[in-house]
Amino acid sequence: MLIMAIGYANNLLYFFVFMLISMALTGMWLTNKNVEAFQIKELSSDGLYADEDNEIGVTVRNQVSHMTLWDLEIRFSNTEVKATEVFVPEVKFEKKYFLSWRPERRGVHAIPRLRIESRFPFKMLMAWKYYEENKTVLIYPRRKGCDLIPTKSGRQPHDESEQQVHDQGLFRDYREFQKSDPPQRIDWKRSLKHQKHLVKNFEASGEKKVRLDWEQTDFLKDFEERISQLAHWIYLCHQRNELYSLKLGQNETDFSATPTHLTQCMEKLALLQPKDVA
Amino acid sequence: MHGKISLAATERRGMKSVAKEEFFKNPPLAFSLLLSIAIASTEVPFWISGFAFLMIAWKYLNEKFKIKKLSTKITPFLGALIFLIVYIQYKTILGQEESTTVLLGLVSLSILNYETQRDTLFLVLLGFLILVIKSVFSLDFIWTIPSLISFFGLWYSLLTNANLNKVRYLISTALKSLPTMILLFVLFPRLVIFQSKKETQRVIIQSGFNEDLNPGRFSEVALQNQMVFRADFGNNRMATDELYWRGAVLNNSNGFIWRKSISERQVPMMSEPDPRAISYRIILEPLNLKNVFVLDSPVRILSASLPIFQLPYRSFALAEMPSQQVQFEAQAAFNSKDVDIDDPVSDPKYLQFPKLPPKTKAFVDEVSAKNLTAKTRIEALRKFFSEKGFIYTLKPEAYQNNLDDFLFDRKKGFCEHFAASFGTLARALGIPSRIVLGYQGGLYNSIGNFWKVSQKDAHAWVEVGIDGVWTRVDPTAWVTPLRITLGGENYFSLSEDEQILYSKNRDWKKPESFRSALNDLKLAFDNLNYYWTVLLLNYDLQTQLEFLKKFQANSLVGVFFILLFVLLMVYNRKKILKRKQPRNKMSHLFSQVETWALDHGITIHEHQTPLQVLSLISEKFPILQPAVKQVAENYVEVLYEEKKGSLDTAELLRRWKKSSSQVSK
Repeated sequence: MLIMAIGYANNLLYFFVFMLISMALTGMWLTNKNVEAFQIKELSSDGLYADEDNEIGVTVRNQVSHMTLWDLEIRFSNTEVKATEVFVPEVKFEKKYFLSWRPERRGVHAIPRLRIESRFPFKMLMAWKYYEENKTVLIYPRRKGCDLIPTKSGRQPHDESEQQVHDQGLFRDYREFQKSDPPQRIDWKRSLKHQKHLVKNFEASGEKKVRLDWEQTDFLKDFEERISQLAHWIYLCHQRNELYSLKLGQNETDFSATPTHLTQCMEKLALLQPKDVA
Repeated sequence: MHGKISLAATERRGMKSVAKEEFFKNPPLAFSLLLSIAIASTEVPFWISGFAFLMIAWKYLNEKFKIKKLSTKITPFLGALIFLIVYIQYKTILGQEESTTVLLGLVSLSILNYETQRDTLFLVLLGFLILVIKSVFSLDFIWTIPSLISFFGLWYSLLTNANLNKVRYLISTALKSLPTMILLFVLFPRLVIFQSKKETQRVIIQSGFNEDLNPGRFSEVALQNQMVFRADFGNNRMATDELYWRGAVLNNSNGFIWRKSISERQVPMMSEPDPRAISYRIILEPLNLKNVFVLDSPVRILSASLPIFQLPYRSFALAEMPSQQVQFEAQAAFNSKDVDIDDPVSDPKYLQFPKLPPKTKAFVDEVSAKNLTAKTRIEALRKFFSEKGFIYTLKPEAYQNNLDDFLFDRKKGFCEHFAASFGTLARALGIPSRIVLGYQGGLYNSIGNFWKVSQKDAHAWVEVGIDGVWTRVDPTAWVTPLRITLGGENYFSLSEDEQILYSKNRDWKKPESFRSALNDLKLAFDNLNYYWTVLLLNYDLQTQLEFLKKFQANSLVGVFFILLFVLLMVYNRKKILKRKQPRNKMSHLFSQVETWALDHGITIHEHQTPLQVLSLISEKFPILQPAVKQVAENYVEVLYEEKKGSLDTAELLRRWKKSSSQVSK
């Protein structure tokens, strides 16, 4: 168009071309400003499991006082997960969003860097920036395996006849349904009344303690699968509020059913090396 | 604040399918694009405009009433067909009109295939291209207004956020763009690297003016209101009957039909300014004509936006067909005698005429016998035309080159009939003559102080050679003096009865009550349009260079102002820096305190002042009261009292960090 304007030496053509250029430049500048003023305050995570869609909390903030931010999108740069649209209108306005992250393996991982992008206002050009937190998170093992929890410690032949399903203790209270709860545990009547999914919490049976041992998983050949099976049993015990302990090699934890105990056990499994159980 | 808007993971994964969009569900886009197509439609053949609007109507029916969509296999075929038709019609597709024709066809097909957000961007770009191309065809303000509406409408259509005040945002963006636009417009060098030509094979008579005279042919186009040029005399007041705009000269008489001579040799042009002459400026519209119209007196052209050369017979022409308005400055010396050295009166070709029909021959013989001098013979002809019942009308029947029929039987005609017959009679009476074609009069715009000459002012008159000098004789002025004193546009705005009633009264004036508010509005708009065109035409490389020269000429003053500007900037910058440094540091410190407060569960509302925020922190964490007090005191000193704080900001920050670290989250 500019060549056309030069060729025709036409000032009206110049007028339109320069108006077009300046509007495009202003649009570009606004797009950059929109992204630049957007700040990620912190990332938060709690109990991340491998091969599951975990939610990472992202607290975002508008750090300029004179500008509303529009049409921003954030996503992990290495995922194909659709971006989450963010709207951060006012100065010092803060909001927490959740992004989905599915780590493949257990262990210590860095949270992938976040890509923040925007095509606002004219959707012609895109500006983007990355946010990377120098923080590592511990990814717990994948929770996978059979649901039947062994009652005896030591080597467990993979024979269901020798396994028993636990009885539950006395009813204690209700709690909100979590992803890992089996759907049959939902108390539908109660859930309908409270308009949210509720499951029953039971007192630990007291007498029935579950001793989970690395050796109990020897029916599985793969090292990672064995870890996953233990993680699965631990989580089931925790949900049922049962007292359980975990024995890995020579190390054994105390019996407990607290969230801290769950975290400790999962951390041990997350960092477990073959030499620890040799 | 805490929100959760993320989609379920299963929904989020693999969402690569593109949402379908509907063209007419984006009204700003549909309106702006259709407007741009409508604007450009005036420059292309009717069939392509019809095709474009047919395709758009199809799209509308498809979206609204779900009629069958045109297969995407057919649209490439239609596109190719458009190329083929344009090529067959014009023998090229590279010209201005040809490429616009193709573009409109392709845009309409793109609208038909519109489906996604990406298509929106593509159509918006095509819309911008159409608007830019339209400005090649016309600088007229009347097209600039809808073009601007369409231009900003296209930008508006790109703003899709529903929560945004789009009008306000667009205005703000346009205002932010304005400085860059002005800078680019003013400073971008207007280098003429290559000059694109207006290439068209279209043969349309766009002018009431033709380079030969065959009475009756142009009467229809002469009724058009199309503007031919504008003339500005500055402070000189001109009368309508003084304004004879010369275009071409015909010197071959065939009775009723006159033609110009074949030779088109250039003659030297006078371009030295004459202090006694009247200067004026002409802005000529691009009308598929090379002719340049100047006042009918010895003339000089001083400067022009395109090269102009002088032809014989005091006529001028452009070197090439203009693609846009042409502006030039000229001078006219009304009281000097036009000797025309290049084409002297004595040239025998000015006395050649065909065999006259019987009645005409008898009339010529009679006049010759009674009048011996050229002046008395012309006087005899004046009496003949003014007293023998000639009627001025633009709708006479055809005469078949029969002078007898016109002069002695029907006696109905317009300027061409009178000029052609008078010229031949003059030659028959031994007086050298030639016909001049051009325009006479014009419509005076009292608001803008310029004359607008339109096709309605097309005119023909005669030059006779008396005493070795070419002298203008206008037989139309003898038949209908009012046509000359009112000008064509005013005269033809009268009813036929008024024309017959007042045609002989050269002093008759249109009553003032005729001037309606609408007319005033039209004058004001014409005036705006005129200055817009002048503005656009005037800003060329020469103007840019003159602007720079002005700086050079006043270099001392220029240097003084530049130095003053630089000093002021330096002074202000120092002042701003001096003032802003502590302020910025203190603001930064407060920002950190505020962030700490947010992190520690204190809710801060937008309306709360910094001191209120600090007191909130004190209330919640009494342990921090001394540190908060220090921050508050320094904040007041630096930001409100504009003094240097009693504590250095870095030290204050260090103390705050130390105190605040005692509080756990």
